[in-house]
Amino acid sequence: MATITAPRFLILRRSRRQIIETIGLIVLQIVMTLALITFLGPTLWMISSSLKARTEVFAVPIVWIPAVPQWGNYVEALNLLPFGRFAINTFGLCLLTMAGTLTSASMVAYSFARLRWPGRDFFFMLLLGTMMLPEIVTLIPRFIEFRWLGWVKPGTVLGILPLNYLPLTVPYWMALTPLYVFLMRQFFKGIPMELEEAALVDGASRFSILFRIILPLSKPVIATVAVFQFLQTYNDFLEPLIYIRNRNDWTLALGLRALNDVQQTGQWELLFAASTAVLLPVLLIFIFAQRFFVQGIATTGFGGR
Amino acid sequence: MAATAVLRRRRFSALAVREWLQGYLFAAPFLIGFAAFVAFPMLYSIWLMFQKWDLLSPPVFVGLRNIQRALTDELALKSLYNSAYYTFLAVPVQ
Repeated sequence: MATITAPRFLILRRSRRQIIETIGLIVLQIVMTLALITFLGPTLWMISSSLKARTEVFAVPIVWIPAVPQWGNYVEALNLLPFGRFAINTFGLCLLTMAGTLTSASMVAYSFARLRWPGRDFFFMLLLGTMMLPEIVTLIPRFIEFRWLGWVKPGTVLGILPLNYLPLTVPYWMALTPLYVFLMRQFFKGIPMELEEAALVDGASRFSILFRIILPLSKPVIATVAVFQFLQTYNDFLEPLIYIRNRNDWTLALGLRALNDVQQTGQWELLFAASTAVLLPVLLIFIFAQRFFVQGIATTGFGGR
Repeated sequence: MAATAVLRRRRFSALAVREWLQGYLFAAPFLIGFAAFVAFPMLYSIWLMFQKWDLLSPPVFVGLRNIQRALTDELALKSLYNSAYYTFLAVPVQ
């Protein structure tokens, strides 16, 4: 009733506010659209160029839809170098680093979240401190250290794993991913203490508490960390470039870079085809795991308790 | 009363020590990894700061000469300036 009989000036004011809100929305829409075009434009151009004939790639005006889609570009590009091999290497490295991060980061995070030990807060500050440390700073001494450990030579570990994969994976088994430890710690802190106490009373060890109570309750943060770690390893270029010696052990990122060298004849469409193919798994993962990205960011913002 | 208090405190402290050990055990990957792959390289690079080393022959102690060289090197100063410029100009825009 009150809304109907409201004085005229109130209605006026409300509509004025609505106008301002509408203008704001329009401006926001324009800015978002411009940002979308800026970010999506080059990607779309790459995808469309991957299907072009060579003469169409740099044609003016831009050919957005190739006259005849050249699907053969993909076959040709992926056969220039052993990309199947690179894909196996990359996914292998991803699995190794994901397993390492999930195991070590969850243990360390549990220790920081629930166990009381002298020096805990100091080491937690150190952990957060490593997050600020630019990786480049320790790059050279780290390389020298790995060389001294004998991990940059050609060779294999037990005949399965290239020796050069150790510098790329071992640090991930040491929870040297501060952000993920932090995310997990915050999540663990939000799990009711009572569950754990009940398990302790029933005589469970800390290991079984972590693996049978805490981790089954932490699926969201596990998924988030797994996805982030996958992307980090998949996209990593610098470390594989520095440590991997043998071409058979290359990752997709290195293969893509090498394709640039092969392109002496200006076969840009092949480079774009390979790039699109390498982008595809990331795109799929993003589409299926978008929820976890958002969760990961939300967890960073709000923390636990 | 006194006996129970002592008993309780002793039991508590035994539990506490147990928890300490478990804490160190669970944090061990990070503690070891940090020492090996973060702290050591950092200290090592501080040590290298005072050495002249071409990676082939053994390093030679040169005192503060490397720092002197860096501070008088035009390219190094220019790149420092560029980083600062980039950071203070580009970050506020974002």
